[in-house]
Amino acid sequence: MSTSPATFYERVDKAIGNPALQAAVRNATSRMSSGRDAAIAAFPEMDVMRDHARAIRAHTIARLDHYLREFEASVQRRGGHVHWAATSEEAVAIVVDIARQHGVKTVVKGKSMVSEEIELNPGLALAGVEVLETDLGEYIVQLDDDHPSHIVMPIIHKSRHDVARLFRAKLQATDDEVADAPRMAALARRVLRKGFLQADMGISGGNFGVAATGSVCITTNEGNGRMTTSLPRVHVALMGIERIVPTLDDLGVMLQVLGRSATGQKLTVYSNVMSGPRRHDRNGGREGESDGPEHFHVVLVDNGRSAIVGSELAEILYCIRCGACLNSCPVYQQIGGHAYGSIYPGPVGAVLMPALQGLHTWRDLPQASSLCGACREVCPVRIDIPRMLLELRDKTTELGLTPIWVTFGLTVFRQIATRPALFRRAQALASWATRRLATDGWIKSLPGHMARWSKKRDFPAFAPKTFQQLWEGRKR
Amino acid sequence: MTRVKLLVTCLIDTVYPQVGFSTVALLERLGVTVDVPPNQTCCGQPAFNSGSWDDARAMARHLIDVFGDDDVPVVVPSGSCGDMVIHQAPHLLKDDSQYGPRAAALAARTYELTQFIVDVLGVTDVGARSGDRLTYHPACHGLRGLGVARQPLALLERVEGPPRCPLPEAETCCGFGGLFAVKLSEVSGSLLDRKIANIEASGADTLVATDVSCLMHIAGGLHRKGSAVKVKHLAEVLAEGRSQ
Amino acid sequence: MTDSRDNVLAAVARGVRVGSLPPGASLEHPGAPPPLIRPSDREGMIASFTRELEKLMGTVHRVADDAQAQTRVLELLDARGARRVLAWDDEWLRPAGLGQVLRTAGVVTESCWLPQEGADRTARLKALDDVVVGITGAHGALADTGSVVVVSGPGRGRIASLLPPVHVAVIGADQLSPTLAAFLSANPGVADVGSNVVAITGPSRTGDIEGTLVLGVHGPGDLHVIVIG
Repeated sequence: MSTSPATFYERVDKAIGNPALQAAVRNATSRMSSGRDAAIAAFPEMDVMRDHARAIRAHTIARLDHYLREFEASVQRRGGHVHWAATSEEAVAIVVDIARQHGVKTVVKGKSMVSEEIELNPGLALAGVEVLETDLGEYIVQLDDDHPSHIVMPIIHKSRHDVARLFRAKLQATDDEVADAPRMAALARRVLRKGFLQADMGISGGNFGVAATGSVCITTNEGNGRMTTSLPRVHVALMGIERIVPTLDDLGVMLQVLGRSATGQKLTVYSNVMSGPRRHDRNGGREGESDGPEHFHVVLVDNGRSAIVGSELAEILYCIRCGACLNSCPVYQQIGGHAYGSIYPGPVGAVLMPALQGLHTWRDLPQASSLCGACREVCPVRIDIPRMLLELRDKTTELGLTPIWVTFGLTVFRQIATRPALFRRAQALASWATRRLATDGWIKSLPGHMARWSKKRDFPAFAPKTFQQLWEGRKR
Repeated sequence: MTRVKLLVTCLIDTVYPQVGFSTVALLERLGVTVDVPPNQTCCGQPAFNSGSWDDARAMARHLIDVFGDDDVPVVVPSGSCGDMVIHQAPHLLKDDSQYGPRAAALAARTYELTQFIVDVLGVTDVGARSGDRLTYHPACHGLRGLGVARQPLALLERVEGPPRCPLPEAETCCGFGGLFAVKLSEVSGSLLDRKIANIEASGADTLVATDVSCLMHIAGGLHRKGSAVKVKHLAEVLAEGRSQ
Repeated sequence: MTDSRDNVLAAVARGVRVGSLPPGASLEHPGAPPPLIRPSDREGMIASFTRELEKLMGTVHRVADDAQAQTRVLELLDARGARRVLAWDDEWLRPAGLGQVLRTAGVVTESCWLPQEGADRTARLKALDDVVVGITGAHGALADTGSVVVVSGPGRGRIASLLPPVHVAVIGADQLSPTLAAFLSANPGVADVGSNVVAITGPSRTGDIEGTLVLGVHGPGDLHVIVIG
């Protein structure tokens, strides 16, 4: 990734110039979209369930301070610890501290987008703690020193041949061991199993935190999430502060829309609810729970989220990270996740990144949309992403970050369009100019910034007379 | 006698006046009297979508002044301009004590063309016939912004002539998106390529849509590729009467 | 980081109070989930459970009584040449007496108990790594999704349904709930029962490599649910 082009537009051009990447992304997104569509077609209550899921998320964000306090008290009641991180640096420091406190040398890690966001792995490495990613896709990402390109399916940008090459190079795999996907998965399983059995600490994300019960829920298909949170003696769950739901019943609703929207599953294979550490009897004897982590820590990460609460972008905090908006987005389908250059790509990322980290860094992402609305249509909690992309474009202009040719051009256009007589003269001029440039009614090459239009498509000459002129004539 | 005001849209006004006349002819055939309030310019959508909201507000106010404060329905043969008037202008002007309520009132009496014909007039068979093999692209703003999905399909279904040709991946964006097609020209072009491949695969000789902006984009791509497929606004298809 | 706690909570509280209510939000909790109408009779639930789990490539064995269940467990072990199993303690296994039956048949039943301390814990886990079959009961099962709900507790280790490549869960038909929502509403205190509640919906799977479905990547790839009654 260090070789990745500097600007968003350069990264987009690079992605567009890579047909193998485009084919891989298109196949993956279309497979996931069809899976989603089929699952939803088979679930007649999906629409009411989505409405309810949205109501739960909206209500929770509207009372987030209340539910965060309740969640904290509930986790503590179970004997767990809650840590608060205002920034990514603090979050990393907290996890490093927990590791030190428990004498941790090796960590197994489940999939967590927040851990990517706070750049946890380099922080732990710096502290001398060895981290092993255990989700198959994330493991491959880690081996290749790469980044996930999708929030649910991290390596849709890689082919099985890429993975085979990687396993040969990094794991000295034999030809037989990389002959097909099942054998490569089996090889990874053997390597990772060793890590699971001896790790001192497991780090997971948290799909949801349940305020009433102090539970953290993670959903995984592979089972690495259960291993990570059950085998090592210490479990640390990392969660954004917005990931709370009030009750277990609410969690049930979220799980039903999450699995269907993400992968077309009625439920993810392991819907794993963890409430505190292993429960011992009074003497630490055999009357207590057989297994589970001895220590249970939850790290609540703010890192820009609290500033979104109460803003016109608050709705993005409803997101449950299913990835359906990525799969349905025609832009994401063309360019894949890496072109965004952000932890969270796709439509959700185009709102979330500027919301979390500001438009100065992420001004280009809200432009990466034709505003087609496909993301809003598939969102399990009906987040109006196009509305917020538009809000962000307005903010971009307010901050003086919109290119001058756009703002100046539109201001001139406004001056003309609010003066009908001037507008008519401008129409006549444009008609004359376009007809002069055109051959047989079509312009092959436009001047200035509009040249980018005519790279791929012709532009029509305008009509000799406008509708309104002709209409006036008809009335007379 | 039903009377409506036509919001002709700047693109139809300037580039495709025949679509405006087809819209008028169609409505008149259905017994509707059409007024065209003078001094129409642009609804402000290009400025709105590009983040120049102050400019968009000025244009939206002009539009409100042009269409006045009566209760005559306003009909617009474009899903995206319809979405601008119906959803976005009231949002833009919500803090404007004078124009805010007027924007909301205008939104409440504005209809996309097929919405007006099917839902208000209650007509699906407009007496049209077409010799073309038609395929239909549901333009995004009409489809998802206004939720106008069944109306154009119902109208097309009743057009006499060769059977319709289903369009693969019909509901995927053609890549237009206003200035998006300029700012992210390569991505937009890549989407356009795919849309055109699907149009050609449909076996149709004419692509129909309800937004001339998307049609302009797709037609520009078809022409560049030398394709024989034509494009038509749905109003043009519906205006071709059976007796003609 | 006590300051951070107060700062974060204060910032959230400020957003909540100063901002307008977020879209679609109510200050009142939205209440109970919408009802799902699903079969709730025994045969209907068993049929749905079986159909759903088998779609996911799990196997459902319906047996008439305890004796048949015991026989079926032994058959599954024999077919895999399994002489050791990782099992819940006897008092939690169904049918009652299954643990004794297994041992009488010469099968070693390993306990799920894990030492607290790191090196002992790792040693115990390594010693269990070659066990092929895990045997558990369940707290319930969900007909609508083909899930078994397993709750940890004393004598009910998490690892029995996790470490071995084969998981055999024995449940009674009376344990089926129509849906997840129905299960939660009938078991409101389930999080109090054990530190881990997991709904297992099919064998472990991944599609990470080009979307190719692979079973058993970390958890059990071979899931059998024996339904008694």
